[in-house]
Amino acid sequence: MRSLLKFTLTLLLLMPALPAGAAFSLESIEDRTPGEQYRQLSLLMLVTGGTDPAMLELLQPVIDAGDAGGSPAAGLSFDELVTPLVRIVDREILLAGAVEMFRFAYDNGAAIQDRLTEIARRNPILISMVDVNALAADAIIIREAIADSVEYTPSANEARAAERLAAFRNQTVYLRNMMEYNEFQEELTRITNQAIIDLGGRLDAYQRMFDEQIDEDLIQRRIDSAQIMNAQAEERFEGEAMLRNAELMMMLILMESQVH
Amino acid sequence: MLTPEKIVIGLVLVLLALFTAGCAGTASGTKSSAFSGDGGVSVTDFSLTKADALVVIRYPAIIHADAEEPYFHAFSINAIGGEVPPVNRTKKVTQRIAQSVIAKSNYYVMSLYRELQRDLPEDTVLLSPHIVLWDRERGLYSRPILATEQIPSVLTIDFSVYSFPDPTELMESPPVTFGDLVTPLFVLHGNRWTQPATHGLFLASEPMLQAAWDQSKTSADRNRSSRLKYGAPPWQRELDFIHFLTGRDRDSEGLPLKGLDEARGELMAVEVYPVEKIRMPGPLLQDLASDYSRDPFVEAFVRGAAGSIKLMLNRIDHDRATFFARQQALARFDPELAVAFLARAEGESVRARLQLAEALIEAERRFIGVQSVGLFEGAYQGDYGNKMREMIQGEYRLLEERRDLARKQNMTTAVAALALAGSVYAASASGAVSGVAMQTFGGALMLGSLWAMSSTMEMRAESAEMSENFLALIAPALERQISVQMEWLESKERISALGFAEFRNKTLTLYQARIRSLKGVFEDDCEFEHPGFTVTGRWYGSCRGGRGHGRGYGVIEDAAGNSAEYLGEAEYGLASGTGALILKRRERLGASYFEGGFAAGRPHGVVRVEEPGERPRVREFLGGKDVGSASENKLEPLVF
Repeated sequence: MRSLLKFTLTLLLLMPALPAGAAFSLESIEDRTPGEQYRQLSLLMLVTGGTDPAMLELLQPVIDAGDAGGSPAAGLSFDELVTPLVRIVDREILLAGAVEMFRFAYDNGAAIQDRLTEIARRNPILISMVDVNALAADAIIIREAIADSVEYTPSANEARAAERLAAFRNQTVYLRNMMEYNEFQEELTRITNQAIIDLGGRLDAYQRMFDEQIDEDLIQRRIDSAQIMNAQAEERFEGEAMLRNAELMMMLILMESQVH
Repeated sequence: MLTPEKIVIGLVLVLLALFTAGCAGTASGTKSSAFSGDGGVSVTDFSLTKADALVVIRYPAIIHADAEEPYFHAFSINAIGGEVPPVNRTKKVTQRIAQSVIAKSNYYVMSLYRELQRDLPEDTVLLSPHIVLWDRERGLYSRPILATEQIPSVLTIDFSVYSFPDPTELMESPPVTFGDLVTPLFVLHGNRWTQPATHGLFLASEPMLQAAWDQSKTSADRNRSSRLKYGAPPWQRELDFIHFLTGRDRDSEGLPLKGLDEARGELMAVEVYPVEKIRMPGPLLQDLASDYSRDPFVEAFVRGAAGSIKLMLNRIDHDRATFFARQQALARFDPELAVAFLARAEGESVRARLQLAEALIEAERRFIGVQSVGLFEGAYQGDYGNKMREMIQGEYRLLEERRDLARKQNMTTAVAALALAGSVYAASASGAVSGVAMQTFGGALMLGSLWAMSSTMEMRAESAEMSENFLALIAPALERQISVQMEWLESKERISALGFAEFRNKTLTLYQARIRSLKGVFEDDCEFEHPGFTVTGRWYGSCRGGRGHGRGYGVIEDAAGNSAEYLGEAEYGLASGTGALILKRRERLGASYFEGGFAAGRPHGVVRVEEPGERPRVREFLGGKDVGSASENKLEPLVF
């Protein structure tokens, strides 16, 4: 609910700014904080990543219209284009912006990467806190918006356009999978590390067994007690399981009785 | 009445009489092992996956009370280095020696573990301790305590040390592990596909050749059958040493064999490691209990053996070696993906899901890696290790004294030393401490106490129903009660209940919540055929009209015991395109392997051929017929 509210507010604030934005350039973001510069450039790379200049062929009608003065000026700034809100702007404006963005990325790929490296080198702590997955999530939304818009844009060569669009969408799926893998890996590492920490305690206990004097009778009594407890625990779980089952059955009966 | 003390004294007197008579023999042992590998070799892992381990080391760790008598019996009947007279088989001293084999294997294996672990990437060397069990149905057998062997591994080592069961025969210089003398037993094996000609068996101690071969063959057969009958549980290989003990008159005649390090990688045969009684450097044993910075077993044996293992790791294609083990690991928690994996399916949906699944296996590898480190710390650096070192040092000093005495009296040193070893075991077995050999020596008592500890550990294990979790075996009862158990043990520390089983539950829950559906149809019951078989087999992967078509894996087996396994491309149920085929004929030892082009089920085009006892060769085939040699450059190998 909070995110929906945030989304709506941002939308309202951003809408008037979209058509009047500045053109892409590295200079245009220099007044931003390093973290923001890093975020925007990363996002740009994620949106355009995995494509080649042939991607622009998909957008040729938009380019032609722009050259003929028949489409709105692109002029979207990073701020404007690299937000999920682009999906609700005018399709032609969006695609004009995409043309600029792809051109800019193709022409300045090396410079952008150098800038990213430089920012990271100068601000290691700040950049270490960048949430790459959040960036990827934004990039996926933008890529989807571009792909959806392209799909409804006439193309000179429909067969090739479909093929390229499919490739672009596949790259987006790949990006999503990478993002999900990162999240999965983070959670998995957390579980593994915790298990290893707990294991340390267990191995200490193992070591103590070698240290302690062994009283076999005492151990046998403990085993007997454990078995009693195990049996009791199983009975308890069985009871709870049956209770859940009864609830489920009741729900099913009620659902059946609602038919008609 | 014959008391144990009298028996011991009598035994010692007999032994003394024997060695004063100057019987032949040698206790010197060999100072350098037959393993000549360079310890400085570095391993390069070009594997595409991070999920697999490089080496798993299996060894006998503990024994169940029910298995003790059958183990003692088997140990005395199936001796290495001679025959134990029936009258000596049931003696307590034989039992004590049998116990010492397990107790000392637990210790010496750690040297091998440490040496390999030091040089290989973190958590890629894993320990798999086994418990020796007995039941009416299976007889004597062993099973792993940890889940180590569920992790795909490039190589698996079976390790133990050995002593001849009959101390009265020790003058004949049979193998022994006592003091500075160690007799290691060693088997090196991998998945069948790593070296199909020998069922994946690379190397074995000479007496264990046939037992190891049988195990590797059974493993190959059972794994193939479990894929033929989809869903059948995979087979668990017991320790080759235990398998060796349970069979008599195993004859390795006819097996494809070669010498140690001989034509490695060139000849499809099993390397034979001779039984060697290694003598560790004395100066490192003199004060072993207080200074073990240089491990004498490493100096004498482990460094060479580890070097040899590392060379082998460099030679093996890791992806091929672990392909089917990874498939089995996937099948455990994601059968759908396991089928897609067998089909070597491409596509983003498979890649992404496989990436998650392999991360899961990698996490398990890490967890077991830490468990292995814990075992090492407990058994080598902890009290157990200290006690073992004290014992080995005590044994060594006593042997040295006896050697000095022998030299002074111009006796055969070896006889004196080995007779002493026998008498120490004998005295320990009877509980006598006043025998000639026992006056200055407490090591055997230590051995006894270690055994008692092991027995106690086993008793604790009884209620754990042989859980996969090592701690669940040696400390508490069931998983969810471990914290309660720890309180009972009057521990100040409360242990949270997060063992391997719970760890696996958590990671699997995470996995199941994150995976997406697979795009594509991967079937597990299409028809697969081979021109040499009249029966139809099973195909996993892409199909058309109910028959294998596209990428996948096919398996076929007839009633006579012939079988074929194929991984690669097929058309209408027959191997066609690039692939690899293992063909096993009942009358032949080992199997034939073909990799390259296929058409209508037969090798066609340029194909690599591997056969038992022969060098691999690249040949040109035409519809299954070998028409001449071909260049390796033209070979299209299968990408596992």
